[in-house]
Amino acid sequence: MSEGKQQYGKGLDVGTVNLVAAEQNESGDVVLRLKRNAFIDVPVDAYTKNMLTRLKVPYVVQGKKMYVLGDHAFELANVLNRNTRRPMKDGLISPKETDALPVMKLLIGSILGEPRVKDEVCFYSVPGDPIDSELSVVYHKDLFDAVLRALGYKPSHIIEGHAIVFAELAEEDFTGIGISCGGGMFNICVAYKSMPALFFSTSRGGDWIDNNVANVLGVKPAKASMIKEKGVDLMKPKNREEDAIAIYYRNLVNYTLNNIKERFLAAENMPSFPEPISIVFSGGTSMAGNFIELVRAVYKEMEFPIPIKEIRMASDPLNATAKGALTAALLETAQAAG
Amino acid sequence: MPDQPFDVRKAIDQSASKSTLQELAKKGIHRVKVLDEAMIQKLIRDAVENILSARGGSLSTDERERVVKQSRQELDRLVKEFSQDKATLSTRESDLRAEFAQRERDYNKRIQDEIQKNAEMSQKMATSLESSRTHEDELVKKMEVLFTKSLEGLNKKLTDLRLRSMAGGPMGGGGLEAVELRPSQATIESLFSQELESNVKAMEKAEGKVGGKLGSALDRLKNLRGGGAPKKDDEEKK
Repeated sequence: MSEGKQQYGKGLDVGTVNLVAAEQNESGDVVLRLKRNAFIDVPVDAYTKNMLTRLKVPYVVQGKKMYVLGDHAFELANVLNRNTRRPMKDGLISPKETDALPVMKLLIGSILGEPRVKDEVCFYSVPGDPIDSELSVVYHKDLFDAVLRALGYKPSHIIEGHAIVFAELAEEDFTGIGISCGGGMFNICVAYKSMPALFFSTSRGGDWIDNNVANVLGVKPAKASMIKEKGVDLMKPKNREEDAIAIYYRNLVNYTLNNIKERFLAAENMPSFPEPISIVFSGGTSMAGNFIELVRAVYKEMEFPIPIKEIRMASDPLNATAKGALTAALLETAQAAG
Repeated sequence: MPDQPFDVRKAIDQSASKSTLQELAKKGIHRVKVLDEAMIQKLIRDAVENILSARGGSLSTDERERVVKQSRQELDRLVKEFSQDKATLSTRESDLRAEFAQRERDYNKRIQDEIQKNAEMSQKMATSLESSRTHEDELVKKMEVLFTKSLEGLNKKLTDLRLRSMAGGPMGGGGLEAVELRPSQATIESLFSQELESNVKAMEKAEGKVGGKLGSALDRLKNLRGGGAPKKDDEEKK
């Protein structure tokens, strides 16, 4: 990093489950802030407002409703045995949660803070076009552009899979495959020398696993999520619940790799990779036990059209998207400065 | 003794055998004795006179001269006849040779003409074949392009269908194209313009955690995307 001059620009990972903001401080360190992308409605009264403020629990009042935001919403939901509400579903802004839009602005504002300079560039992650749903990314982009402008930033966006490439494949000339395994979606990007050659998303993510496991086991999705997050060895499941989780994980990985293969073969003007490349996984859903081993096992059983030298986990799986978005923002700032 | 005059020519024909010079040469006869007409007449005269002399005085001088004269006349007549025949034959031979030569020329010309015609026809056929082959090649190419295009179109449609079916298919149906609701910018901005009662701003910005450094990623990206000299470590690696 160039010494002396502060580089401005911020990255924002807009995930279904978590929001992560990244910025670079004066020392050149990457500073990360994370907040749960969730809220829960609570009774509106002065007593509740005072108590929440004293406890440093963020809330917002919208009309006749009051919402607790972020991680505290998740904790409160667990205490009250209720579900949180999510502004986003399957990787995109939820059309059902119209109340959630101002909430999103507050959540994002709380982790981004004020812009450090006028019109500071902020790159936010967007999913690639989903191949298995009719959901449109356009409305999602329009909304987040508006949110960031309202917060005083100059918004721009980066495909989520591409952000993984920026964060994790610098040593390999930004050539390889970046896969972000989110709660709502998997985002895939095949890049060649930092340029995205192929990118798309699938509407199957951690939530899809939770819902299917819950279905077969006859439990609530939150329970399935808890079992998953408690720790499961996907290569050596120990009981019926872990079996179900492993089966759906394997199905999901198979689905993802096959889609990459089919899309790559069907697309025109794909680069030919003279050297084998790496596949890097990131995101909370990829942090299950022995996930990479599972991917390697599935990969061995198929004929992949691109030569692969390594399948690995990102060095920072939960924050790779935000870091990649930050890299994009810093690059744009540097290029604009000439 | 017969009363008819003596036929010298017949006598020579009957008593002589014909032979070509080549045949004589084959026999090893390279030199022959040639008698001309005068010599033959002299010989006959001498022979007659010898005979007449040998027979003595039975013939008078007048009878002897008459015999010689008759003999000479006979010989002259034979020689003349021979010469005429020879001339006629020679003329006939010349005529025949000329006619043969003319016929030969005619035949040669006809053959050349035929050869020329054949060559021209072959050339025409070759040109025509080449032209029809080129035309055929062009037609084949055009058909290839047409087929390839329609196959590509079909392949794309099939691939799209296959991918959609593999991905689980699109939701909804209907023959109408989906209408995308895209709110105006004013509508969207109005969603966020409202100031809501909240304690978020009053709170301190969430404590961030340090997540390492970006390292050389930004510089490498700048180099790839243009703008910025390559770093020393990149140059060393080269």
